[in-house]
Amino acid sequence: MKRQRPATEPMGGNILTRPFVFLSLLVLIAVGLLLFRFVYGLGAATNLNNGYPWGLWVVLDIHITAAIGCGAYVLAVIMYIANNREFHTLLRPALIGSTFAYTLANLAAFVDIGRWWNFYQIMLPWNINLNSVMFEIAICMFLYMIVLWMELVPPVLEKFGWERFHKPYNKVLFIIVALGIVLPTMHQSGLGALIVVAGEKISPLWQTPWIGFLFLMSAIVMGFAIVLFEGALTVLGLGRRLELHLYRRLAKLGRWVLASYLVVRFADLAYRDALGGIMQNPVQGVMFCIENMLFLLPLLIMLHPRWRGNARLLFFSAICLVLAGAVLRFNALIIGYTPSAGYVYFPSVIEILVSVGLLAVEVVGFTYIVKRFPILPPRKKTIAPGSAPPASGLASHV
Amino acid sequence: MSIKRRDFLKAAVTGSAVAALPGPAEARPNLEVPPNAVGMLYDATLCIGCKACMVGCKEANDMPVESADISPIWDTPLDTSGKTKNIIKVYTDGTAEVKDRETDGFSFVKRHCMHCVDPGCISVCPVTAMRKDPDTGVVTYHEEACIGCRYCVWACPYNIPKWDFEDAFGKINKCEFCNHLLAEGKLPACVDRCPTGASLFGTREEMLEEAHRRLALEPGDTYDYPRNTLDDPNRHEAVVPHYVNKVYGETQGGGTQVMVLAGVPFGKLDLPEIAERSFASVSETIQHTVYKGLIAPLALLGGLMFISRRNIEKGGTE
Repeated sequence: MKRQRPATEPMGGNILTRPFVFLSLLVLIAVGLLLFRFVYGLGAATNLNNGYPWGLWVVLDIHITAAIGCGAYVLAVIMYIANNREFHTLLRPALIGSTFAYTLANLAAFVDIGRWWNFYQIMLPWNINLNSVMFEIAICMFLYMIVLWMELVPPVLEKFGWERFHKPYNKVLFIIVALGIVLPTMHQSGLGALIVVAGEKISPLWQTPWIGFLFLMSAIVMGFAIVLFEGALTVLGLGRRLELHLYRRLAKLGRWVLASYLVVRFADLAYRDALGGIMQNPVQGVMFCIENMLFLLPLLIMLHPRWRGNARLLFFSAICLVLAGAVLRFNALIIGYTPSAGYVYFPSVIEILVSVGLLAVEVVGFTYIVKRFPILPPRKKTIAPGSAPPASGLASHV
Repeated sequence: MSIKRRDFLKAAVTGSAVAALPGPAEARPNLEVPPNAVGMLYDATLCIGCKACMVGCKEANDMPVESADISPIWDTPLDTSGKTKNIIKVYTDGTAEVKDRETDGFSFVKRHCMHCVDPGCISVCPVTAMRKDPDTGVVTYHEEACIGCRYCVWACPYNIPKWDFEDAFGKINKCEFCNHLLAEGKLPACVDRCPTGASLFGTREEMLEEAHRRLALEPGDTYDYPRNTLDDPNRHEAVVPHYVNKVYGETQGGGTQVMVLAGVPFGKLDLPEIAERSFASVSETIQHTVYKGLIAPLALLGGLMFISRRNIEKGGTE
């Protein structure tokens, strides 16, 4: 293949914009509060208690952040397994988002464990408990983080002009790609299967043997949504051109996963005769309805050809779906959970600010990297819809 | 723990570690009661709420006094916690006139680890920090392996393991059946201190037999209640109460080694009605069906590598 215009290039531009500085401040605050957490402990920093031993950090910063990190997973399946290369321009930005998400989720796990100095115990072979869903999740999430870092090698090679490493990298790319699909499939379902062992402590609205499958499906839906969402943010925040045709086709693919999710979700509820749970506990009932409205509404939009073509509605759908997956996780792990009598939980200011800070890391990091590394397609380059895309996605272009 | 490590190395050398990897394809049944399972029977109708067992527990386990008051005068925990392994709670209704009656009555209940036959805490622990003695069935906690993820706190159907949130470098706390005292041939401290025989120690089999013997008694008759153990001569005669006709812990979640008799429904005493099939076995069946011998994930990986390699080659030579 002859060398053409590069498929991607650094955006360039000023790093220290006002939003960047503001978000960096939020990150700094979070770092300070984390210091407090490590010195004074979980009890001092959080509102966690023995009725609610898991709170905001576990649900938002591990479960939801990891699900939001599914953009690269979904695009890898579409591009390298379904061999549909039309979305290649979306892959690198999605990879950046996913890598940040998974790195932060792993970091959050370290922050949340009470005996962090002992974390290496999970890697000692004589401590392995193959019955533990948590063990599977911890190992898979850690390995997938490394896989994501490896998927980011090409832009680094390009940035520093180490072109001679492209060839050997492309030779092993298929292994990285395959691992990058198997590992999320495993731990995204594991993150749901985690609740099975809690039995009747979880409302039947969420406690089902199928919860692992539902978490996986919803993570894939969120993967689609986050690619749309990130795309829209680069349009709004960084002044990129809107590639509506791509997002529209992505929505067309994603809606089938979304529809299947809802079919399985309600077939399971009906089969177990569990919908009565809505009436038993008003808070759980309302949250259940919110969760499923957030899944249903985007499906209606995506099924309608004209609505699907509307950029605003598409962006709105993406937000709904990210929220839907988030609410599902909050519900299954906290709202649907019945602690022993007398315990209440609402996250502390520190928990909230740390979570905000971790999200800010993602935005700050994303902005910095797309401005300095070859992640986004060149601004003036136009790809006519339907024209043959360059060969590369993850692969370096040689 | 060194014993664990040695076991692992031994297994690895003999090659049986590999054999341990594949899980069962069919549903994993509940675990069996260990051969020399110890047991405890708590009869709430005998309990007078003196809390001598709580004091004994604190002494035997070297736990500090805990109080909800600002200036603690004596030990008044509200629940089992990072500093309390055993607690006497009370159920009251209406005028609370009559002991062991559901309406306008009251009942004590003693809460600590039930020492499940098929414990959820052991199933969930990612680092095997919860272990069940293969002989006595006592469930112990090993802080040297614990990473503090609190999955055991979250998952326990009886809400027993507790994280010490007051300690910046905390750990899990739960009743371990006074395992250190059992090793010396002594009684668990709570049983040892109980003046009425409300807490009784023996094998699980003996305790189950004794419980059923009591349920078969006629309310209003008298019965020669044992103290400490079944064969201790220091017994006392008392009137047989109206028992709820069930031994709590006989079958719940696959059975427990601490069992309870009471005069009010167990649900009122914070002892939930739990199906006979353990949640651990449900969870592990799903886990091991999906991951049996890692065949499915490896097959998936192989298939994906094949397809992606082909697609990358095709795409790359456009």
